Amino acid sequence: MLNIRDLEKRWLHYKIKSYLPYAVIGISLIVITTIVMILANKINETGGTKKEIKVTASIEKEKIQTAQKRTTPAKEKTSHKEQQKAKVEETRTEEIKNKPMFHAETEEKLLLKPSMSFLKNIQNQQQEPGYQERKPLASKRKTVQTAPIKEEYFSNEQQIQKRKTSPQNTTTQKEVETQKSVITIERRDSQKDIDDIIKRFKKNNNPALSLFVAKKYYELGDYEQSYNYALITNGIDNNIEDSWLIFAKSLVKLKKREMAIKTLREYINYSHSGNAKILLDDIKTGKFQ
Amino acid sequence: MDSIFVNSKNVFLDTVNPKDYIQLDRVSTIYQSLKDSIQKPLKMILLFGKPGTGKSMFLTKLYSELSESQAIFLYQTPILDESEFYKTLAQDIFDTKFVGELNFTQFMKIVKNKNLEEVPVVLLDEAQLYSEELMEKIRLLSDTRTLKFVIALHKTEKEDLIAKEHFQTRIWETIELENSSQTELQIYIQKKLMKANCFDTASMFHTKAVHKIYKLTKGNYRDTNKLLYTLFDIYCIYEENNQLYSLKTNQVSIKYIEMAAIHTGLINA
Repeated sequence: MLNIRDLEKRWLHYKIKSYLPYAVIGISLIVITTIVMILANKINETGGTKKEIKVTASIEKEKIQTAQKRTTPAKEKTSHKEQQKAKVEETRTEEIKNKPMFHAETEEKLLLKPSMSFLKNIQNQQQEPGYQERKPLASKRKTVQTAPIKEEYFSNEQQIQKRKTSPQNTTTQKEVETQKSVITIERRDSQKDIDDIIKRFKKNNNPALSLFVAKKYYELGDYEQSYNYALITNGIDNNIEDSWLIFAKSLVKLKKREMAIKTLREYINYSHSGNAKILLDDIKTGKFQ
Repeated sequence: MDSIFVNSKNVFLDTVNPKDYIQLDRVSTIYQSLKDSIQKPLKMILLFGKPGTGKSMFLTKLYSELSESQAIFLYQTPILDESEFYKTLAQDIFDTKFVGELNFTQFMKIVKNKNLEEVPVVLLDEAQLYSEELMEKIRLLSDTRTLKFVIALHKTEKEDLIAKEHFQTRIWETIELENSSQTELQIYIQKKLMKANCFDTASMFHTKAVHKIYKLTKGNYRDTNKLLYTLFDIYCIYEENNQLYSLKTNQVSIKYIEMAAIHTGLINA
């Protein structure tokens, strides 16, 4: 005689046992997917906070640097402005940096939505002696040399001022002039030097440095990099004519003639830049290829 | 009067009865070829297959069909003692009673002296249990063409060895029996039940249930009989306990098939 109750119990155990692997697989899949989703969210969140931390850290650094560099009230003013600018546009540059090196479509979107802060920059343009003053000096040499010149120029000026203030080294204006004439600007083209400048740029986010890098890359024939750094420069300060020109030139070199023309037109519309117009004509006529 | 479940249960009792033989297309073809082989002037026929594939049923069926028309002798249980084997054969086939030990030479003398017109057929079931020495003697006997042997043995490596090494050159016919296919199993179950007038239970075996049975038994007839016997036993118990209302009686429940499989050991639960 069969013991039905016992048999039913055994059958129930068997059924549970047979469904157990499926249940385990199902549950583990659910657990894994939830863990993956949570991790993905966390990574996104931490990525965001890291960016914020980076931004604040760089701002803090800049503050310290500018505090150390404070020599004249004018300079202080400009550095403070730069800080504010950096604050506002830090996230934008970070985004640009995080993007792949060359994505014409996405970058085009950035170009088509220019920051309206350039109006403020136009108004304040004359109050930025650092950039304006350097121009003639740079134009004497090569426009590419703007960034390093700036650094050396400032350092020399600081030295001069120190000498002026120190009682032991009381120098006359003539001496200053001779000091100035002694300045030797070495032209350095190696990749290592460019990398050094990129490092410096990453530290202080100075658009002059990124413009220098863009120009350097353009000269070296790396048009993708020159495009990228011109784009970054425009992102930081979209009122630098050279940056726009390099940007457009790089686009032409990268066989994006139409995009270059479009960009230049956009720029000319609000800046009425003569150089940009000349370049646009050159591109249109095919003089510049 | 017994219930349909009790009748159905008894259908699947594991007995070797030629009346219970179920005609399946493939099995019928094999059976016919075996019958034809016996009529041929061959020395030996080897019938082999896994346990539960119907070898014993084949021999029983053959014996019951041919016993009236020709001299045929069936030994379902092996006679392991050599002398006893010869003595049994001498007594059954040649009507010669022998007192004391009977060896191979003496038995050969009896065989030659009798010189029967019709070659008697000896059916040996479970031949894998015979010793190799005795099997060799059987081979020598078959060589004399005075006796025809049909040997049924399990298909294992050892038995394959016997088949190959000792009898390969002498066997005229080798017939292999295999487990049934799913379709054959469904026909087997339903025919078996219908033969016993259990039409209601026969209609309970739908394809899904047969598939489950096939998965559990792999088409082995003995295992199927065991499983279905237990299955109907379960139904009988539910019926006795007046719990049939909780069961579906229009079709076999997979649950009860699994319960029967657990009880018979086909499922290790």
